[in-house]
Amino acid sequence: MKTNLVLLGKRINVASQSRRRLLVVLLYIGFAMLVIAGSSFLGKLPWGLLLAFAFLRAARFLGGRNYEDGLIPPVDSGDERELHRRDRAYFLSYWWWDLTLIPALLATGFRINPMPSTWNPEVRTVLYQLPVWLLAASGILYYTLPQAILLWTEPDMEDFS
Amino acid sequence: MNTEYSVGRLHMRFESRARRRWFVAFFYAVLAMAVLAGFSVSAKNTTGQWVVSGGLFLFVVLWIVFTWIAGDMRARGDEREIHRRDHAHFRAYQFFSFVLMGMLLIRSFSEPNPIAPPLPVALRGILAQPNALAVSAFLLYITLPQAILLWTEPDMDPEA
Repeated sequence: MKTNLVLLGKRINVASQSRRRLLVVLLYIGFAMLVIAGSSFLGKLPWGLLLAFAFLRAARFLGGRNYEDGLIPPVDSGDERELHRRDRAYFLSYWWWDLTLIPALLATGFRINPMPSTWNPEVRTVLYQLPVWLLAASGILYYTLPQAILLWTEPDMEDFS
Repeated sequence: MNTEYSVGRLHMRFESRARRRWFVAFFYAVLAMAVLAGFSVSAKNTTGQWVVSGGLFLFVVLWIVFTWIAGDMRARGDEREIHRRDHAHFRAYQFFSFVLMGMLLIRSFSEPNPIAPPLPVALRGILAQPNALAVSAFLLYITLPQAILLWTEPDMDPEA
């Protein structure tokens, strides 16, 4: 795991666990704001595209998976300890992921089954859009959660820079 | 992981990997049949009700055996068991990228689009079934790590 990152030309040290945790919190606050903005009255703006762009940048920045230059090394690299930590992070992610996956699966019912016409039209619109945004949140969590857990749980590191 | 399932005088042993793999394959075959029957057979006629009820009954029976031999995935065993369990989750997690892609694809086909009209009616019918994919995804989500563990664990001692 890298101990330094360059953001807008500025070098930031993330060797300490508290700094990495702050980074994870800020990242998810940013994603949550984009998802909420996209699903609210601002939904007419191209928030989907903005969310996809932010997500791609964040995924490359966090690393893991097949990315070479992110904070987290690719999934297939590392010694035995690192592989065990990776597997552990994926185990935890699997169980936390259901926070969005299962609501997204359940919410597809609003798209399939006709909603009563007596319901408020605004509520019906929100419920109709709900599975899309839950699925978007689920996708974001799916691709970022293991890396976030690794950043969150790794203890303070020595700074080799 | 348990190596034997007993109910009354019936004893099913699962020490050998080959037997566990047969069981996992059978379990998923029944699961697929139950989901297909549930979404394609009309439950308004008697035959349909029998097919759906039979599929559900068989699924529940197999589900009980499946969860018994896989054991509690959140329970902490020894270090080796924890490593194997975590690795099974790592592999299961990778698989869900296909599920997410499938859900996004099917969702896009549920609204007017230029690709769907020229497709065969049967394929369009499948693509217009997001509820079937949602149920399948949910069932896979709750069973896949256990299935990977049962599939990959080598032959065990009967005492284990």
